[in-house]
Amino acid sequence: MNDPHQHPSEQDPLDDLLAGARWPEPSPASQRRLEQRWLHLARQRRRRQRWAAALATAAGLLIAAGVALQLTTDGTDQPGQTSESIATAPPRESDDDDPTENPPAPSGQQPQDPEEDAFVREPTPLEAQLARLAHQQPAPRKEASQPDPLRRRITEAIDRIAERTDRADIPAEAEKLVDRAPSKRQLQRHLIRSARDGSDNRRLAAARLLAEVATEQALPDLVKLAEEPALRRVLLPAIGPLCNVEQLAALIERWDDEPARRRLMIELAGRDTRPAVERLLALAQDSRMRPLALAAAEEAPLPLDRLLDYFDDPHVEKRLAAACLIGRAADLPTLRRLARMIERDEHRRPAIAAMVCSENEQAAAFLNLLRKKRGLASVVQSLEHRMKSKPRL
Amino acid sequence: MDRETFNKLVLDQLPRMQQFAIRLTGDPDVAEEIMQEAMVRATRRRRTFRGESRFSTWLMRIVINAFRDHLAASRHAQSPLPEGLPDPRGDDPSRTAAAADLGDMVARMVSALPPRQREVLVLSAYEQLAPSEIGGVLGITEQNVRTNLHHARQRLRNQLAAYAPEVRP
Repeated sequence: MNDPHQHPSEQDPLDDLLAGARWPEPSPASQRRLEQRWLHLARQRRRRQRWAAALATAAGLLIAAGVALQLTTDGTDQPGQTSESIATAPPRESDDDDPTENPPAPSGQQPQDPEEDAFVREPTPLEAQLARLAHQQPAPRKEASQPDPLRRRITEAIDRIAERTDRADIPAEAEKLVDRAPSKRQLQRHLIRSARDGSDNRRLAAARLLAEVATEQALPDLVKLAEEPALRRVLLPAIGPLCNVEQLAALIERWDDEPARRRLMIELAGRDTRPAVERLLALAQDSRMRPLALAAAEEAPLPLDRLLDYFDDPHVEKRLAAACLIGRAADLPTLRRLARMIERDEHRRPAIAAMVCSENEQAAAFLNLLRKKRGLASVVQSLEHRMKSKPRL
Repeated sequence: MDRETFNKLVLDQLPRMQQFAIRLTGDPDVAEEIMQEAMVRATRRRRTFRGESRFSTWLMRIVINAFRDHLAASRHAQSPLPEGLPDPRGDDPSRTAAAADLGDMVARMVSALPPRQREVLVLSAYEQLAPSEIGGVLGITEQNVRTNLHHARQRLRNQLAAYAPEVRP
């Protein structure tokens, strides 16, 4: 260990000191996390390579089939004859403008927009969710040949609400309608129709009633109606609880409307299921969505225990995202719990990160104490820097 | 090298690399973050390992690059004095040094050296690499390695002299 160009034959006391240097040992949990992470990365890589190989094979087969078809066509065509293969050959460039040359979309498949065509890519899960919502069959528009009692009652209720606006007792009106309707489905269908057509006041009144009675079956119609900002405001309380996690995330991404996104994010943040928490953590790691996710954490009944489990996640970004959400939501008992974790050196770093993200004065006071502790000041400092200034967690 | 062998080699090297990262950073948590980043980079750069160097030095290069990027991002590249050292100007430095754990203190001093000196010293003193190998890992000349090593040792001598007079230059 001697300095190579300084007395290489002598035993340098500095070498003895260097040999006796003692760094903290990595915890078994940390070693396990790294191993898990490596195995995950290796599996991911293997999957990607399999996909690439499959795609390359498919492309090769397609090219071979094309070449074979071309050769067959060249060999069998005679001048003056129109063979079947010409009739089924792909359109030439000059035929591109002819709409009849474009094959129709296969049944069950939605027509793609021009951008999609240009890149020919798989839709992301979120896009698929939105597409499913948008293309689910809305309730059929059945023109009533004669006024039925339900329709009359709905019209009357809508009139009352439209006239009284803010003073109307919407839940009571909705309850009366549900009690007297032959089925909730029928009632929804009528209300959806009324929310689509008519004067603004009446449409709004119908939407308010719809928000009270809507079930999952009405979700595609609710989402379509909610594309209109005025209706969105009244329909949101119904849409949030009816959406599944992927639909919530898709709408949060899609609607460029801060209050609506915030409301949906709160709905997502309050769900105590693994998929919901995974999605929330993904959004909290996205620099565009992070402020929204953190704001929602303050308002939603966050599933703290489930989030605390992520303190041991192999992905450091996910650990810190969970910490940040917990920090934002932390009340005094949670802060005490975090402080105990720090004192016991149990998931110390994410627990400190949670304290850093907290806007509670008690957390700030605790961090001040930590800054005075040997070995912890630099941890606090680096986490403060990371959590507050880095766009990604 | 086939993928399975590569995966196994990385897995075998993980404890050593983690220890290496801890020596560079002085903090097991930061070291874990650096290792995570290094692992992602290793999967991407698998094909760049052509067997011209030892696998461990190839991996060390990746860990060092992740470490440097971490320093650049956190702007903590220079920490003038290691945190928590007893004050050598105190009443009785030798007693203070005896009370404090000298091993811990040396570790903190090494991990607080300027980054390049730290890299060279850790590779030399703990990974037992020759100056030519260190030059290969860090992408600097052998002469540069020797100079940095000299400065690192000199700095440590000066800092430790108050606690362990035998290292005084």
